[in-house]
Amino acid sequence: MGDINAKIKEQITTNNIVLYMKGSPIFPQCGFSGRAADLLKQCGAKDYLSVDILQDPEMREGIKEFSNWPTIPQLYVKGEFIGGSDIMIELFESGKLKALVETAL
Amino acid sequence: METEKLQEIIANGIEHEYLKLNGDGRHFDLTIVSAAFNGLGKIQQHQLIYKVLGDLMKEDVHALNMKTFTPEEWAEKN
Repeated sequence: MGDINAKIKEQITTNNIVLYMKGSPIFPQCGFSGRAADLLKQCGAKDYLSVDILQDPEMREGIKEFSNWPTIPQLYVKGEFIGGSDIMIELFESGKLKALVETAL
Repeated sequence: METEKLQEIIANGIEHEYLKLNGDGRHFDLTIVSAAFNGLGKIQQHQLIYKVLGDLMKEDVHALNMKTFTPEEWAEKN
């Protein structure tokens, strides 16, 4: 499991915005993942790292353990776990998500 | 998983003032008010619920949309 944690750490430290999701922003494979990608787009995030956990079963479980969060999608901004789609929606509605994303562009 | 069964598990797992759960068997929407959330960030609040559900999150519950409130937040909202 060690290398998965190292891989995740590397991804979230070298990329300001990382979205672990099912599918990709253009072809999301799950409603919640699609919603998360759409919210990021609305916040002006363009070239962020999206990780399709459907392509990587070890990552799919590894990320849940890493963040102690059992569902996908998962958003990280500047190395910090922000939440899943419901928290992203809440942050978006209060304007906090846009403010957060803008600090990471 | 039936909504009533999941509601019962959550209700028994965490002390709460208000709990509402809707679902279609795999996707669920939960609204819950609990003093246990006092002083916790949103992520920690949700993690409390996920801890109650434990392994159910692996198979039975595909998606759980949560709205968590402290009693104070809930009072402000209503």
